[in-house]
Amino acid sequence: MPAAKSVADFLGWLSLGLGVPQVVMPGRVARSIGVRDDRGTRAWMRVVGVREHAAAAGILAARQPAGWLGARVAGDVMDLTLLAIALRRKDRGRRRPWGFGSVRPEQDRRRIRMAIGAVAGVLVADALAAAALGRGSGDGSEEGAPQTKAAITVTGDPEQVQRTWLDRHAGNGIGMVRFVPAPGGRGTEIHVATESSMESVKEELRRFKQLLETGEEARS
Amino acid sequence: MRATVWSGRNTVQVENVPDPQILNSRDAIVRITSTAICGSDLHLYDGYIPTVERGDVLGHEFMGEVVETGKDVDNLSVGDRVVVPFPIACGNCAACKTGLYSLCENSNPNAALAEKLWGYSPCGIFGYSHMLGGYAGGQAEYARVPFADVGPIKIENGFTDDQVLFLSDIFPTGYMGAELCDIAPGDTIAVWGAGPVGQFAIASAYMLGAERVIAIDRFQYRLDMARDEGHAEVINYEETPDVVEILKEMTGGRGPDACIDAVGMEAHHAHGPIHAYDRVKQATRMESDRPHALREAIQACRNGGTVSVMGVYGGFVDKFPIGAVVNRSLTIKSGQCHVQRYLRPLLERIENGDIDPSFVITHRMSLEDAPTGYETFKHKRDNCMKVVLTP
Repeated sequence: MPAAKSVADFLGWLSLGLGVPQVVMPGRVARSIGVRDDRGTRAWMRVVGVREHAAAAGILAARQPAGWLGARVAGDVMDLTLLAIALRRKDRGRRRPWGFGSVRPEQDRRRIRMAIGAVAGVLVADALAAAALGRGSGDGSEEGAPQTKAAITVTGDPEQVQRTWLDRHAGNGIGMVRFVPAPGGRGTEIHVATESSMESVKEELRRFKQLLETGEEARS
Repeated sequence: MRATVWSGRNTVQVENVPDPQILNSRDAIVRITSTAICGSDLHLYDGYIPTVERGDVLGHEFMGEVVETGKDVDNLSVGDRVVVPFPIACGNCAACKTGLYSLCENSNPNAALAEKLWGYSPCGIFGYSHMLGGYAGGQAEYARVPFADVGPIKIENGFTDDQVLFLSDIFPTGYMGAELCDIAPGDTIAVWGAGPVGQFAIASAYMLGAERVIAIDRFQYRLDMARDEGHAEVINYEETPDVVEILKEMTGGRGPDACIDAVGMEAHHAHGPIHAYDRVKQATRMESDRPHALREAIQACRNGGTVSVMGVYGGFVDKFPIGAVVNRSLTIKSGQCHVQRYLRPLLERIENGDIDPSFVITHRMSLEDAPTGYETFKHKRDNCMKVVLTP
């Protein structure tokens, strides 16, 4: 899913690009989108900025950023709510120190509408990217690609090893299993692809090898 | 039964623990008649080997009498006298079949732990941490011996315990250290550490045709044994300014053809600040092992020579002289000893009178005195070389 991943990365960097000014200069950001610049707005702006930092870190660092993109969708909804509240406020705009109320209220209202449009667009991009990555992540299993791949080499030829394997795992298969002759008479490679955890698969492979080769499971 | 258990750093206690039971059909139970404290047990004692837990039974050098066998052990009978090799090996896997018993692929039930530290897991070892299997050790009255049909060697010729006990570890370990040197006529072999493994490496190097063997240590009584029993030339590194230069001079400027590290992870350095550097790094877990002997063995080895590492290392070292290895075409060989493959030929060496391994024993104690044995051995009190415990 490389395309979705690169979109996700772009959204991650976008988060960072928005988050930094929101935390560093919340007043200027507020004014630029036509929202009244006061202590409450600045506090909210900083909260949103910190949230953007978290989303950026999550998306850019995670191997499976789908969840973080979901968080971004939720963040977009929060932003739309805050902007809608700002639009309905009567005294939007920049308040002058000497108390004559806001200036250019129409221009501010237009800026807020533009901000709402931008956030709505990003919301769509976030939702699409999250959905695309979620499909590829395997937990939904639409594409049926198991996560864990492990292998072990045991003595014996593939047919014999496969027979023993089927005897032991009758009715409780642990995933897709291949039996491949190891080169140079090194026995048989057992390759397992499964959705189980790496630890449990390797443990099962080791136990199988112990039983096959020594007739018993090592115990201490 | 009574057993020596680890109970924290620098502490062992002899306690009552449950008697071992047959768990698998290839197990045997051995009533221990002699057991020894190994230099590598001191690494456990000093707390440098991870995954040792309070209550773990120590000891991997032991011999005794078979008192019970699982149904698939057909080569041993109750009453047989056996020496038990310290690596636990199945004899069936690819590693065992090629003689690499200490790399047995089936004997470590905690292989996942070892893989985290080392990439892959070696065999299980008696009494040597959970990472290496969590098997109860042999400094006890009884031990459960897995794969008893593969490991233990029967002693049928009336030798005393003292003469054959060290087939379990230190004699084969020293021998393998010398064997890895691929000794050719005229070769000079330098051995760092004149402890028990060093003594057997010296003796083995001569058995395998070395012209000269040079032992390096700082304890004069150990060097005396190397000289008197092993016929080695000796260097006390605390009394010489530069071991590498002296070795160079002693070998006509060529350097030793092969160097054996029989010291391992708790090495000492004659220069205070250098010793302190690695001591601090080890204490703060910035490196797990102090590699003074290994560094010096590499520096001292002749161009194109072999460095054979038999001292135990556990993890990671600092300031490893890889430049010398690469630019001077050195070969480094190592491994926990594949004891099973040396048991028969080395027993024959003893039978032929080539060697009597009991020469290293300096202290005999009751199993109950194991705590004293550990302290005496660790601090080299009373010229301690090797402690044998009798349950």
